[in-house]
Amino acid sequence: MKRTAIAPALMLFGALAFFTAFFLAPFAVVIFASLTQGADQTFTLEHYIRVLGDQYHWDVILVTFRIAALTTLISLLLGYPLAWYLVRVVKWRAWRRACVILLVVPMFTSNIVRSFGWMVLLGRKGLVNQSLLETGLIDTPVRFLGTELGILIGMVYILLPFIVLAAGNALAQVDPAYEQASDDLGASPRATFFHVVLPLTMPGIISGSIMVFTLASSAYVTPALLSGGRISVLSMLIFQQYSSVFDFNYGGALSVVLLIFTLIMVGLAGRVGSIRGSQS
Amino acid sequence: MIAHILLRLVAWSVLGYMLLPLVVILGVSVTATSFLAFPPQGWTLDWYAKMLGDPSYVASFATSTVLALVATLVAVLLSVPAALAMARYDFPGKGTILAALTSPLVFPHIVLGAALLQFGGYFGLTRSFLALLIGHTIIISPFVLRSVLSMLTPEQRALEEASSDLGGGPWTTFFLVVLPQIRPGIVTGSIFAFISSWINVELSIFNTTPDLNTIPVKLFNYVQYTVDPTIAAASGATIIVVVIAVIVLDLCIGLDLLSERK
Amino acid sequence: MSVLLSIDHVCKNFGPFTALDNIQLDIQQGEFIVLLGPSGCGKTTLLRSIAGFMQPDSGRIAIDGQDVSRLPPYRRPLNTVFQNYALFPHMTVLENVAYGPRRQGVNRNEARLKAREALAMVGLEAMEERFPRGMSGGQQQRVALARAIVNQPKLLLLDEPLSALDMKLRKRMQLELKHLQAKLGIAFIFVTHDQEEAMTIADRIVVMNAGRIEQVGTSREIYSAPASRFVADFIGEANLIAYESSDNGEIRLATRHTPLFHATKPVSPRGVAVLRPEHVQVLDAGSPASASCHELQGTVTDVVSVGSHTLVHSMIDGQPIVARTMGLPRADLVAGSSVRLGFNPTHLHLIGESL
Repeated sequence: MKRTAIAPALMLFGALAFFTAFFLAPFAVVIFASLTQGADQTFTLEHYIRVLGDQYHWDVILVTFRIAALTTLISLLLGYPLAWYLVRVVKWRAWRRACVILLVVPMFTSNIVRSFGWMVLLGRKGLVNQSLLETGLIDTPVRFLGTELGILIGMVYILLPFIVLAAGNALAQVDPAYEQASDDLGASPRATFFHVVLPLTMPGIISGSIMVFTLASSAYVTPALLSGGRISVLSMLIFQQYSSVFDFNYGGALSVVLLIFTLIMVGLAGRVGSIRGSQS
Repeated sequence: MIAHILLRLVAWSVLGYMLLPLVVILGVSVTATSFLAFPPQGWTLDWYAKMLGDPSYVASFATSTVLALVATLVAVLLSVPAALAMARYDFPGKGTILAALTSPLVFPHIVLGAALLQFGGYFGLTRSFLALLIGHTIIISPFVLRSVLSMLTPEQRALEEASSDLGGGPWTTFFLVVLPQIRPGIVTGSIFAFISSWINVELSIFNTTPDLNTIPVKLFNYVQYTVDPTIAAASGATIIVVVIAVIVLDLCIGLDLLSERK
Repeated sequence: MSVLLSIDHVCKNFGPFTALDNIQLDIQQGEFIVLLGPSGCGKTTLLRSIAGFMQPDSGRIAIDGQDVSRLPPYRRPLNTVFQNYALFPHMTVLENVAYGPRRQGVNRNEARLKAREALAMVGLEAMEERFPRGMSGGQQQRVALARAIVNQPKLLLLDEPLSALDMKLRKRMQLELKHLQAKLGIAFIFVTHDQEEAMTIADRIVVMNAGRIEQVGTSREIYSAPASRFVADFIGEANLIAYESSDNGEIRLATRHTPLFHATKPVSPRGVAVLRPEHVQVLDAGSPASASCHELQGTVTDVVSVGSHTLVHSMIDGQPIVARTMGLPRADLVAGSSVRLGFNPTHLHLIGESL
């Protein structure tokens, strides 16, 4: 019903105005700040030079993306089988629902609470070390907190459910007819998986992975708590600039770097979705 | 078959992995020791009592809840008309606008929080309930938008046309035909929105004060300095609430999210 | 009878695509009109423009003399039966049917009364407390109908309402609709792509193609005197044979290079002649053709029999001709055998090529 252009404009007005005022405008301010310096707001690229020219920053960026990449990879390796198990293997609806609840409850719990749980588990006297000592696998307690491994364990915990849901959805939507056709044509179950099921579920998995990677690279709480003050990721540097150092210009540059990266990933995800003609 | 056994092994291990931290927190929250001990040594509910007796904890719970409620309400008021507009009309830039309005889902929240802090500073919009509200509304609106949009199918459009054909003006059609149909979408979206607001740290952290605190931020601050079972009790309380909420959610709308479609 | 609906030079484009090309149509009170055409011909677009769900780019639509072009659907004195019924799932059947009267300001009790009357007219009085969800397609269709007629609109629009029903039910509903329309006296505009359906129920058929009206007429007119090649081909089966006419009015068919007959009225120099298969006889091997019958000789390519009748496909001088005979085929008619076909030239309908 395209009577006038007024109706849709009015209906969108609230959301758009709010969004422009409190999402676009603030980001614009940040971008502006990253490109200026001093009370007179002179244009400068010094902040970016500082960010991108400094070895320390590159280390931080590297660590951030390394952790994000490993988180995504491990989540995939653990999550796809779990999704397969829930969609294809589990026969009782009740058990599957219970498992989904087991996945959803952590998702609805705050990162801080979840990370706190890992702080307790991974500490020197935590359950993990206790078990390892008792089973004789190690002689002295292993340091988890303050290592990338510790952060990884926490991050995978936070982001794994996303992968399971994305993969599970993709699997559930594969038309059984394709697998039957593959069987009919003489393919072994293994071949059917690699040549039919995996490719068909790929778009959903890729877009899920991209989302997880994006969330992992911008994560703050989990790395902050599990890093033990020894490791820094990009979001921690950003927070520092805005909450204690109060250098909004430099913080702006750091933010823009993270933002640009996020935009690239989101763009990629969109392209994957449209290339394969899938729905996310 | 080895593959079968391996699959089950991996699946159950991962499920155990998901369960572990929650069990640990609940366990630690009832330990009779004054340090975090797992398995708990002795059983007591003292830590819960201490937490509930602490006015700052109670206030934080209240703030989190009220904030989530109001933010969800605003998100609904903004997103429902927007969803209707996008489903009903065709206009240039629609795809871009939809992408933009849902982008807070994947944008770095820490950057948004920082941006709002800086931006809000110019208007005195910092360290207040309103400042918190604004940030939360931005990041939770996409849940409502997407959820409502998914209910506005072509069949739904036909119902709107039928109502119009039978003499129902735009407002009548909305209240009598559209709203009853999209209600499940509003409810589902609101639930996700509420939870997202309730558990948020990255935005709240910029605008909280000792007097205006949300539970996640309070825990975040405490956990870095003092680690005693009171924190575990507070965390445990949130876990218990979530478990109850999810079970209720499952009973209401059914969480058979991964059932195989035949 | 007076003109109820007047569609005047209505055009609609979607970007480069022309959906409606200068549509001109008048509909009388109490008529049963069918808009017939293939997918994409514009029939649904035209219907939706009349209903008010679509705004034409130019032109005027008037009901009873009143220009309704600018009015939204809820102000137009007409009602629509939607293709997928669009019954409100959260309301009972009675509430669905009472919806229209309530919107007109009728109080609840009276609205329910009217709704019951309408439901009785479509034979669904017993269903009033049911919800649409559990009902069959045929039942839902009747509810949609009741919901539309209860408001006593001047005009009822039906958008392929029977297309979701199975064949038997469909045929029954066609007749029921015809009776209902006669009883109510309301003008119906019915959209379909099924030409058999159109021929069954319409007072007048509007044949559309590519956004244009090809022909308007009764089923008889359209069948025996199609105005264009498209209409001839779309309605029923047709043999289309090219013809040429000489200056003195002699018609020569592409199948035989001897003049056949003289035209009784002026015709274009070239065009296509329409010959319906039931007017083509398969002549017996030995019998001579009668005086009024012109003979064609050729080879059988296919014989298709459905028991009650048989279609004999033949190739005559490179032109495919189909003959329709009653009952089962003659034993000697097989693919490859030679055949003699005959027809009476008076059965030819000439469509001239537009200059």
